[in-house]
Amino acid sequence: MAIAPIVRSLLRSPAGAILITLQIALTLAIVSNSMFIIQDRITKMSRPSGMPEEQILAARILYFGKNIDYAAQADRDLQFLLRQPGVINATQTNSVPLGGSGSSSSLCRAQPSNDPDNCPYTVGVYMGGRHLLDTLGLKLVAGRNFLPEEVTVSDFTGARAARLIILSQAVADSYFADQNAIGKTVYLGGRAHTVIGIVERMQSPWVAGSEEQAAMTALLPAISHGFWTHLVIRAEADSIATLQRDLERDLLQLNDRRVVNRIETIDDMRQRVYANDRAVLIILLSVIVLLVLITALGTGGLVSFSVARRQKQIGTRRALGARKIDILGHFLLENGLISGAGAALGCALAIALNQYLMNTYELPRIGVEYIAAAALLLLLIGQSASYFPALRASGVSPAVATRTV
Amino acid sequence: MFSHYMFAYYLKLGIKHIAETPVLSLLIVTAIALGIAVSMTMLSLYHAMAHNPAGDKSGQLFAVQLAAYGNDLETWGEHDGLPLQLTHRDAMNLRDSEVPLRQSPMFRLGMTVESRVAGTPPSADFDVRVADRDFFAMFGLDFLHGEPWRAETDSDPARVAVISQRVNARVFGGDGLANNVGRTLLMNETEFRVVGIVRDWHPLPRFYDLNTSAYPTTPDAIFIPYSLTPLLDSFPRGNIQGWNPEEHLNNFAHMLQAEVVWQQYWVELPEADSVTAYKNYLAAYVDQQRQLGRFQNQQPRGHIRDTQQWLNYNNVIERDNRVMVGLSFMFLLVCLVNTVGLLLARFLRRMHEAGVRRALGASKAQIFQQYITEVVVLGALGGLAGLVLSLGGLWSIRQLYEQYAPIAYLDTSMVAAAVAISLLSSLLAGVYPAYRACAAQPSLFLKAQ
Repeated sequence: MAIAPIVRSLLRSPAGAILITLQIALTLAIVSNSMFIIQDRITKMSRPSGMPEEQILAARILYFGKNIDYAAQADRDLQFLLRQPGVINATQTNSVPLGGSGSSSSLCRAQPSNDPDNCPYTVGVYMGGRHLLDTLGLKLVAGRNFLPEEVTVSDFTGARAARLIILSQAVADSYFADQNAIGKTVYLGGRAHTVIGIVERMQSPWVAGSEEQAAMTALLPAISHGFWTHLVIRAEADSIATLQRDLERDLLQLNDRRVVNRIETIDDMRQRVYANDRAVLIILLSVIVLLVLITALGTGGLVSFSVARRQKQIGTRRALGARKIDILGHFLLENGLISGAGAALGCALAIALNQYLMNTYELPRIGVEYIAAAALLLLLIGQSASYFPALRASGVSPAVATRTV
Repeated sequence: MFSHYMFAYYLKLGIKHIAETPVLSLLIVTAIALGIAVSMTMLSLYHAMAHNPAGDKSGQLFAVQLAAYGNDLETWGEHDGLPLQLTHRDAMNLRDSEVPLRQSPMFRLGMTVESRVAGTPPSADFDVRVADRDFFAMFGLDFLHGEPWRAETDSDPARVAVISQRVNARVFGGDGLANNVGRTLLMNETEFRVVGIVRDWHPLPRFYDLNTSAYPTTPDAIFIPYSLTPLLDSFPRGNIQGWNPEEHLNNFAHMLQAEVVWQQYWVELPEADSVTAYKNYLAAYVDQQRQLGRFQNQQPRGHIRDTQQWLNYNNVIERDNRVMVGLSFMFLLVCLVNTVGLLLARFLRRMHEAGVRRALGASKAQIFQQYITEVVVLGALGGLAGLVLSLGGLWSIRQLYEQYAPIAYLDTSMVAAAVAISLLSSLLAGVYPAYRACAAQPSLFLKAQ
């Protein structure tokens, strides 16, 4: 089919074509960047925690009684929990991966620690006893766990006496590259710690920040007994629901001078800590759907207008021997050319928009695949939206050519 | 010439045409409505997040910052080398200044409140704000009963508390409006005497303490004297940050002495003179502390920011929200381009009508006015529908974001903005199509007839 006459006719009354081009270009820029942000959030939300998530239950305990022996109470709680059906292990800790709160500290290769080159990362620090590793279900890939006598017990944020440390693989890799990290010394809080173990993956308590940052964590052999603590329970997946339901009641029966709250599975935590990301995802997805809808309706509307306006022309072409399929082809090709121009302009706009977002909001660089996917989607939408009006055009009777209006 | 009579006539014509071409009209109204709905939803959220709860006092209330760190560090804290919070020692020292009209150090605490109502369990869901007496007048809390503790309590600690309506209801039952001043509140098994009951107070963003969240879901609900700080055995809620790796935090008493920052400090400086005086006071204080061996960093200094500056400095509006407002206005732009196209189709289809009217003596300007009137009617319909849809949009925002649920509503200024944006954008969209339509050659169309 000849493109030249179509282009010439478009150039004679370009207003409609320009508008569709512009609309498709803008839509492409928004849709591709939105898809990119959505994908970015999906990746973020599916970062592995390193835990067997369906087996974990966590809770926060806040004591308010004045005369409570926190250590003894913790023991009683753990003894009780270990007797419950399905429970594999239980322990207390200062925070839980994905929990949203915890402690962090700058980790140094060497002293002095006020030299930033020595301390490239701030790591999330988990503190607990020797059961923490097993309770969180973390996978030890090198070295060993803490021994009971290595665990320090104190009454506040007391990790100060700890001299041993277990690192996440990500920390070990970035601090010691291809050397064996076991036995090496790192400085946390200004004190030397010997690395005794490496866990494959242990996500930080916070989810904001980069993928790289999310994997930077360390484990200290320290239990601090105080008026608040986190309790972690690992149990067979099918016992979790019952445990979650009864935990508050059971613990308060053991001691009611405390509040037990935020009793969450890892799934509950994900809902909580990723709520903003999920919201962004849903909003952008709605924007994409609405935009595509608007563009489809707009394109369809304009093509049907153009068909209505050219009834006589179509009739004349039909009378001169053009087949129905030629007319259909004409309109589809015409729309294809317009959408194609829009898509081309849209690719440039999409990159410009991403550039702006990169400069202003430190978003990452968009992948070509998002732009290509959005372009393809819009071309497809444009062609389907113009198909019905074009079909109607092909049904115009040659007799129309003989009428005056 | 645009008389009321003509306007009424054009209005009638416009409505008639809209009714005659329901599909095309519906498409145009839908495009405008969706554009308005999406952009107004995101703009309303942004507008609510950008709210400055200090209102008229915004320029008189200042957050205090001190570069109170040592180790010869170049910077610590924020990018400008100022931490957001203060140490307990500095907060105690700043209280001695006589420059501010009002001032208060403060921090947030977690305590468990027991209820007097049988069957109501103890609750750890209420945030406790530890502050000086000036806090109430400085931030304008509304007392239902009683009053702040006496001025002497700020130096001579007493276990007294001001509670909010919600706490009043939880602890003593009823709707929280009853006068329970003088009764005893049990927190962490310690008795506090209630001296005042304030109306629930939930300024968002919580400008005076932006740590952990600018839009907290739990408001400060109990207020106790700052002078009690050394006697507390509870744990602050919020961020605790330190620069000194040698610092030992083994208990709360250590934390009061330690070089860790965890408290906020606000001063009320009503006029320019007092602002200058306070800046001088801070400079002198920093010098004095340096002499004492503290603040050994490369840029020791104090700084104050008024409420609006403080909100900007803390970037209370998150990146996500900024990006989404931008995208929503691009969405509106797409809807407008779409509307221009549809209007063009609409008017060009009626070229012959314009031609006939021109031939009968109507001027180009009159034709133009007639079409613009029609566009405005379509724009108003779209705007109205968009406004209704944005109510739905904001409802969705409240479901999606727990923290914005109290603020994600349309206020009058946003309704006005929606009306203005829809009229303006429909006018913008209508100018070119109307111009094209009135440029019709009358003869051309008469011939065809």
